[in-house]
Amino acid sequence: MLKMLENILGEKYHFHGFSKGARALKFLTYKVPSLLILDIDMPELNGFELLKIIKNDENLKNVPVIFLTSNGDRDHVIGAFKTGANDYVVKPVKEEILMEKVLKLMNDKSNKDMFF
Amino acid sequence: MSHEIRTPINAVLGMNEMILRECKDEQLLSYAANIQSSGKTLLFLINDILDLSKIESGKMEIIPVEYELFDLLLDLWNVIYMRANEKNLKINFLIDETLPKTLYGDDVRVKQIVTNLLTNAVKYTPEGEVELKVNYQKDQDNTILLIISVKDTGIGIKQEDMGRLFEDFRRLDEGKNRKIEGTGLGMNITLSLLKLMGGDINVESEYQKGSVFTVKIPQKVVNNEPCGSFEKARNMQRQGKLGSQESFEAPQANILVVDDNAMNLTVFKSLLKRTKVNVVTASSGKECLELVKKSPYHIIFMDHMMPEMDGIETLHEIKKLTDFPNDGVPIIVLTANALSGARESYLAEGFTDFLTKPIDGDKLEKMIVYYLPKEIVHKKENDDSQTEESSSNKSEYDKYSEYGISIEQGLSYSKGNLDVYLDLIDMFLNDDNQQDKLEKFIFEENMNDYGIQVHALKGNARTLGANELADIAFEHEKQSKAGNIDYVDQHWGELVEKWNTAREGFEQFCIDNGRIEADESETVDMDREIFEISPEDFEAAASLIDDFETEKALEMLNQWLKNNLRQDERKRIKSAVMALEKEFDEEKAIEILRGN
Repeated sequence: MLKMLENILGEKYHFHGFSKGARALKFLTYKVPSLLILDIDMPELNGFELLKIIKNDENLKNVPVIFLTSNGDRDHVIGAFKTGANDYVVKPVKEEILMEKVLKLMNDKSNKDMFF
Repeated sequence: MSHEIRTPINAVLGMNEMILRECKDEQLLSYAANIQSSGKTLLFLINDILDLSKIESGKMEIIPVEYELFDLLLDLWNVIYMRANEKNLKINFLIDETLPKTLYGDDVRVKQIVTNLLTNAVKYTPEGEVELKVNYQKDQDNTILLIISVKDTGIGIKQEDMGRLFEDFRRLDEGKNRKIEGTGLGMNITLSLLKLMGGDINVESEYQKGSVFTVKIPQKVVNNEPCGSFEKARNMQRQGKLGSQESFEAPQANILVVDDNAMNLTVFKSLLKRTKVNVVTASSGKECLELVKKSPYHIIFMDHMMPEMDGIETLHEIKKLTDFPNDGVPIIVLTANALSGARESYLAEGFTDFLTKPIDGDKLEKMIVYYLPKEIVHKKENDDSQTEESSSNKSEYDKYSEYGISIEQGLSYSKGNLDVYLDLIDMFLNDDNQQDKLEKFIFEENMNDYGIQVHALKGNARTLGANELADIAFEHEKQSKAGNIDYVDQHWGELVEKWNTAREGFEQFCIDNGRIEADESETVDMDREIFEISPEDFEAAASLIDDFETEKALEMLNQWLKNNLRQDERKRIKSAVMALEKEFDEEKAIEILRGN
């Protein structure tokens, strides 16, 4: 999954991928990315937990977040929006849709980007 | 009668297999997965019932033949070793070395009885070991009483349940054991067969501790020569030296083999290398059809499961052809479907014969000799030029088990030929494409193609003895066929990790056997100065990752790899790169670089 995202986005943006939530959180204390793509299922710290932490953090709460969800699961989507996600993408991810959403949220803020 | 019952079930299972492969609707796929598992259970049940009804109607015949005791025991070992391995149970065969070498009796039924006892022991033993002990008592002049006992450290049988052990469809402690597969007919069949052969059975068991089943079967002695060490026989089998004393050459023979899996084609060719048979390969049904129209072959081997046009469809297309050079040529199906009754259904489709995968070299050779015209087969004594492996290799191979690899098993599939085995490992290590493909299928949620691809991975891993990887791939195969994308997505990391571990193990094995990767830049050039990387350098790379400067770290690691490195250091750096690039696991990469 990460490899595919890197292939899609890596050319245009600076991409940093993590397979574990806890490691990603550590990264966020170093750097504030321009955009975050979050999957729900991750070992150690899942997407919801991480999203909550980000939205309660002064430095990070304005980072736009796109949520990845399987089969358009309504509960997940609603939960993600309630927690503060800006948008969501249903797997399987269509490249054009993802790019459109990323472009919209990035709004030419900068050329930095990160995902996991 | 049996054929009439088995054929429709096999047809149901076969059609259902098509649904599993071609349907995209998740709900339908999950129904089909249920049909498959229930269908297989039904088939097992029917096979048992057919046996029992034969016994009850007095139609079960005991057919005594002359047989080699070790052939029977080796078959038993092969059957039970895999099953026990899957459950991490230890298997121990204690065979009296003075047992007579050749006996006269119904070896098929003796095997059925002992297989039943052994599989029961494995089924009901969650941990520990299963032991098979064989010795004998002299009975009359040329008769012995074969005493075979199977001991396990399993769940045991309650005293009050002992009497019900041999009842039909009986499974003791039903509540607790409801998840255990089988029909509950096995013990009854065992008892009936024993009666027919004039033998008996004795059971000792302690609840929660384990059981010992002992059977005594009278058998006639043909050759009184002692059988010798079973351990030695097993090692010989491992090296392909048993049962193939007599080999053959057939340089005029042309054989076509059709399989979409490149590794299977290589295995096939390698197994036949020393017979000098010409092997032509085709990687799809379509290619096969083109080839059979052009040149004549003596035998065609055809894989069943292939994308686009499967083996059965291809066979039917071949049968439709007229005026082509392969009319009436034997077509043998290659399949992983070893269920009893599967053979009949393949033959009913029109195949000439049936060979199970992973392909056993001896069986393949025997089959080829059988179907080739006698005048082009030259029998020859087995030369001993093949690599002689000492039995001490077993313990030497033990160290690869930490990578989830059984070298012993992998070698046995390559007929004990180390060169063939190393060639296959090379292919496995150099196939970078497969992982990208799988990842792409997950991304596209294309569970159909993912299932096919992961099925191939499972087969390759199993052939090489990478059992842990094969097990995980098998689970992925089942789940993807049931359309369970969530499972596949969540457990992808686990598969990649086992895959990398297996790769590391095989790389180590290649190094240990003097087979260093083919790429020149990968080898250590002893004439050139070795590029030293200090612990401080490793620490610097780890710190870069720790500071999230992953790209810089990767640049540094890749730069190092261009140098003349010591093998262990190259391995360590490659593992770290893999953890970063493929697994996105920075912590793992840091650990590797810091040598933790």
